[in-house]
Amino acid sequence: MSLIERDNHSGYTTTGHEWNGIKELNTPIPRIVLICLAGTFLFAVTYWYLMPSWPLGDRFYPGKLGIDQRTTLAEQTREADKLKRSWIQSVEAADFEAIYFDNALMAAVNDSGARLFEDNCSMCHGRLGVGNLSYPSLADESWLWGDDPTVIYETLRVGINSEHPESRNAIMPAFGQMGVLDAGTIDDVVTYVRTEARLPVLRTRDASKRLKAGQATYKLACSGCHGTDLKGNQSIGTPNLVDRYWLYGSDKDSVFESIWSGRQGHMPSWEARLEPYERKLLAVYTTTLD
Amino acid sequence: MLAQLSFRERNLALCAAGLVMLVGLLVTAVGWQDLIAVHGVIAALYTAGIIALLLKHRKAPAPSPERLKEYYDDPTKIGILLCLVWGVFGMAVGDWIAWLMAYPDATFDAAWASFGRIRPVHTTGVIFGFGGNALIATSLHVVQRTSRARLPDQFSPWFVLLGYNLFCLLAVIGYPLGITQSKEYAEPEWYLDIWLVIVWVAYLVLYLRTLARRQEPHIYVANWYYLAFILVVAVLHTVNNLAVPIAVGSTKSYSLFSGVQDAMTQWWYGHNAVAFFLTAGFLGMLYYYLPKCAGRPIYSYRMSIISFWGITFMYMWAGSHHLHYTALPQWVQTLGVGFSVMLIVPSWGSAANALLTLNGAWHRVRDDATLRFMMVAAVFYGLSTFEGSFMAIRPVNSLSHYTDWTVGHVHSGALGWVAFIVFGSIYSLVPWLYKCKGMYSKYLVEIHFWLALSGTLIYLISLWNAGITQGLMWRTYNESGELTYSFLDSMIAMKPYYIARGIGGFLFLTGACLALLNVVMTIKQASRESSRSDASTRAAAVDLPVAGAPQS
Repeated sequence: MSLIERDNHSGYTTTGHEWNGIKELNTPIPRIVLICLAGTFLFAVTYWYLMPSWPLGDRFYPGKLGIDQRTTLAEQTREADKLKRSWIQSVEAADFEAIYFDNALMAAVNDSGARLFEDNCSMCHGRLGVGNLSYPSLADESWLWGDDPTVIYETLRVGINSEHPESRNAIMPAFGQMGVLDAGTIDDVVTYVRTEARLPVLRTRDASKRLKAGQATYKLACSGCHGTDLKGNQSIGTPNLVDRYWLYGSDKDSVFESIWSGRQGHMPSWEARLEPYERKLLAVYTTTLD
Repeated sequence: MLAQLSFRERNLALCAAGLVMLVGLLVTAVGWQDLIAVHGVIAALYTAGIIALLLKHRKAPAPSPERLKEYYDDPTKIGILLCLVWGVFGMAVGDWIAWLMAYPDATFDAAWASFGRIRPVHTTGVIFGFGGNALIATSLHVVQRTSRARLPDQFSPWFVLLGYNLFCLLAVIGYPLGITQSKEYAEPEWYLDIWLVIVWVAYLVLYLRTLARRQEPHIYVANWYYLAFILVVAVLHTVNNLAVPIAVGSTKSYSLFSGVQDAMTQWWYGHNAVAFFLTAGFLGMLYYYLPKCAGRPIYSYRMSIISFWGITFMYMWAGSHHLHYTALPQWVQTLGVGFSVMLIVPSWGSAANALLTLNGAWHRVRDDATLRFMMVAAVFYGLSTFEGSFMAIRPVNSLSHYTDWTVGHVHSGALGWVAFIVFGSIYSLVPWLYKCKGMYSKYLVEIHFWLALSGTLIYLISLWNAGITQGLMWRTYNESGELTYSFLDSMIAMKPYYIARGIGGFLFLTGACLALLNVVMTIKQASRESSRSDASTRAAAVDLPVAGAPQS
């Protein structure tokens, strides 16, 4: 069908085609559309002229302004570093004692330290540093390696059981799995340790006998690391067993599991990821958590 | 419905279903140790169902030759229902993962329900399940009317529709099991990609054969867009999914591309999937159902030309704007910026052409929620294409990239544009197909409109706020030149917006459920009425008859 009609509403004619009742008007393209079209084309061509754009075989047109995103980034990073250098140097120069007494540096600890902690540490230790099962709380008074900022700083540098060559190492052996102790003996040790830690223990008829057996095994197998007083040893990172803080849970099954399968907690080394001043801020920030 | 198939077509369908079933069983046998066996079994069950239906109707009498004088709409009818069911499913999963953003523990502690696995269930469900079925169903309807020709046969539309839905089904079942090639919007593994190529080529051939049979001298604009959609998606899908499987009986494959070339290929695909799957096809829908519903001629044929060729030519180059400030060479980024900006006017041309077509029919927009759906779709099409070009500019992108602004932008197109035009088209198409006066309930259409609009607005406004807040928080430095906020700070700041987004999505989902209900009730009512009166006389008012139908 080809019949050109005039549309009464708009005053324009149709193209004369019709598809199942649909017609089209032959309205000319409004001037504003053509102007905008030309405007966007002009923008594109200008932008391409100024910036690196079209490929030329194995090279590309570098653009009139000679801008390159890699050089721009390097420049911006250099500028930012220049601004930060003076206070970073003051953090690096100050020893830990001095930082605590310097209000400006402590402000940086509270500000940047907190941000660094949330970005790097909070996924294991929690946003407030209260830890989680298997991840120690940094906000209590129980410390595996000590609460001195220099110690924490070193832990941050080398990590614990990490791939770092100087890593701190503290591994609880798998006494049960390796066949050193059998399940019954471990049960006795669990009873002894939990009794000493003032945790409720089931009173069976042979309780005192088992307690004695547990104590004997403890002396033989455990006291070397955890001490005869069960208070652990911060110089080798063994936990205090009688301080009410339990990294892997205090219930009977969890303590049994710790002795049977051992524990190999992992803290990554941050030497390659965080600058020394950042680790310093974090070490101090960690001591302020409570 | 199956009795409409001729004996030859019934046998052909049996052969095709049997072949797919055989392949499914073979895959199950070869890959017994692998997850691919799950897919093999499902494919076999799916085709077994089809075979059972076919066998049941095998002895039915041959269809009357009278059928050739009418358009063939059975696949469209089923396609609309599939579209709505997929829509409700995909949107429900979408709303679930929206709430996961605010309450990340809502995964039942199950691996299959983790965000990474169910997010593609949502995207595939809505883009391919909801959008794809809408496109197939409406394209088959539109191409027949605007060509005044019946589909060339009755087997291939079923092959396309059911084959395509098998693809969607297997894909969506595979993700929670962990079967994915991890390419965004192209997650299905190699064997499903091959299957989709077969289905898609059948779709292209079916469309071209129908167009070749047309009795109109010219090809209508809607068909340009549908054809661009089918043709370009075939190319995009094939290139992006080039991969080497590690074994025939394994789901796993490795992409042919690596590094920045892979990233560029993926976003060339990803951006053009938005352009040709989520835009071109739906523009085809807009170009048919809007003027038909408004009873007005298209505002300007010349604008259609500028828009169509602008979009088809320039979208192809714009994908690199998804990779600003990355390892992608800067010259590729610059090219993407230029073409993205040049795209604004052709895109707005389509939106303006649609809105100006409504001149002289605005009273109908006011009174008729169906037409209002399409009007709002055109407005959101304009908004989201402008936003897209704007976000493609490098300095803007440095703020918006990786934030929820991007998610908001996508949904501005997906909810405001794609879903609105689908609902508008379905609400006008269903009464025509079932030859009744209107939808079962006009009132429900009206409620759906306001639910959908308010849901979309709540969604978009909350994510605009979320995205800009995130972008600003990530680039705020304190006096010492250090970042002020941790990433966690920005997550905590997002929580109210994520909750608002979940509410917006829920409103939208509720609307989609009403649409499904309304369509089902309309069909039920129509079948009751048609037994009482002869409805075909009423339908004549909507469609011109098939021209040049064979007289046999």
